[in-house]
Amino acid sequence: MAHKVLIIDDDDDIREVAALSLESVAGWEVVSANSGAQGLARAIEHQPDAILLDVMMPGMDGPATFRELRKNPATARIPVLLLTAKVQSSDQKRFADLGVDAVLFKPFDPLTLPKQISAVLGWK
Amino acid sequence: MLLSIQLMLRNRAPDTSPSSLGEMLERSHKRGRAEELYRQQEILLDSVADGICGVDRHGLVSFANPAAARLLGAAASGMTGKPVHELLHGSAAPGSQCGEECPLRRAAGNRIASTGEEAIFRTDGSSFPAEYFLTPIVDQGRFSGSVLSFRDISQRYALDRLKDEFISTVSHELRTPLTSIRGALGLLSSGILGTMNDKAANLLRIALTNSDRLVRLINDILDLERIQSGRKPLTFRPVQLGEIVRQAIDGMQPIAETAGVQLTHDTTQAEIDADPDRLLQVLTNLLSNAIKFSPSSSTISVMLRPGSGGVTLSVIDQGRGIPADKLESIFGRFQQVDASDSHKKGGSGLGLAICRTIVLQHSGRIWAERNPLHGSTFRVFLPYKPVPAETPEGATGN
Repeated sequence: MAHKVLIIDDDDDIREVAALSLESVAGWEVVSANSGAQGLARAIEHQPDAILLDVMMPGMDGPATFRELRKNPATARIPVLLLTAKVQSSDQKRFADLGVDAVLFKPFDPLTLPKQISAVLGWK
Repeated sequence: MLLSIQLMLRNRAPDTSPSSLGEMLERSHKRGRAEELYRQQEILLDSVADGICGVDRHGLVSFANPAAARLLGAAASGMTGKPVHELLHGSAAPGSQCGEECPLRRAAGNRIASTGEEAIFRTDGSSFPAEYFLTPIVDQGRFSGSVLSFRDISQRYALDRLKDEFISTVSHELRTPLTSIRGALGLLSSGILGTMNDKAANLLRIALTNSDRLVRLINDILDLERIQSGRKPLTFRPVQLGEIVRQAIDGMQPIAETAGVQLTHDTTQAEIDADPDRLLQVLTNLLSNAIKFSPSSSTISVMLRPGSGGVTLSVIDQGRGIPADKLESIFGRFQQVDASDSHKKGGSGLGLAICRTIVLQHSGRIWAERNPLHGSTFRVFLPYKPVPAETPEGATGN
């Protein structure tokens, strides 16, 4: 089944690689945003099936973006998966307390990233 | 008459008999020595940077050195006569006060030795992290009081926080570009974006393998640092070692099959107190090494042997073996049997250092042996009940 995923990450290269992974391996439709603010706007406009959200971004970081997504009724129900290079246990606890649907770690394997997302969200 | 008396007094000879003079000299010498010792003791107590308090049998402060007064923001004279627990925690704001489980309260009240790290409150209500030692004094079988010493460890905490932030930042900064590198190489290598000639495919395979190696190295460095610093605390509970062995073997089975190596284990049951996740990490590392250095069609065996104090776990392989002069050094950081191993076998050189650190935290031992015919045996001794290790720097708690 074709899903639509919004990738929010300030790193151009990571956005491109992640998008290629989801498009080429899984055949999903991908929308991209390079900041938290842009991500909020694109989430409202495109209503993706899931959002892949970076943590460390200038301006509105991942956790702040997530809180805004949850506050807005138009985006509150969209599953959000953090994609982060912050792997310390103190960071992981912080993310778990946020209430996101999952935390995926960078670097990721582009061949298995779609499977990881599907497993978390119960997609076939 | 008066003159006669005066003459008599003037002419009276002093009592210079040898015995009384000697006693006088001895008494004078002892008094002088005692005063000297007292002065020395006073100078020492006044000079040390740690706070030192004498506590009487009733738990009341009988003495406080200038450092204790300075650390607590109080006059030394105002501290005597106070219960020692009230001295250290009495100024806490209502919402921050400790309960009955406070280790200092329990130790002071029960005349037991106690050491650890606690927040101590100054008289103005502000607090600082402190390391303390409360030692009961038993004189000829009689409890006569305690000595409390404590020091401000705020600087140590600040340094630990800085170190933590540094590691978190470095980890993040290394992983971010690796994400693009690994991702791009993985996609190209899969052929999903088009085929390429053999030479190009081989170059891609080399780049992908080494980027994976870099990721493993970053993970291992962070892991080792976290384990050694105590920022990855262990959670001990009763664990069936046989179950951990089975889990490790199941996890390594796919890699073993690819390498053409058979994994076996015995059916011995043994229960110990351990952190199951960390033990699994140790076993997985040992099995991974064994598989890496074992020829195809060989067997790796895992055996358990319960003893009186604990269990010895053995991982026995039929590989190339370890030279006698490397049996100890392989547990060091970035040590491999052969310098080219890190390149050929893809290891980071940290796996055994991580294993040793985890095993030591279980109060155990790990060592390697050369097998009589060929191969190596790695042995891990784990006591049934680990003795709590000294609190690592930066960790909190008794």
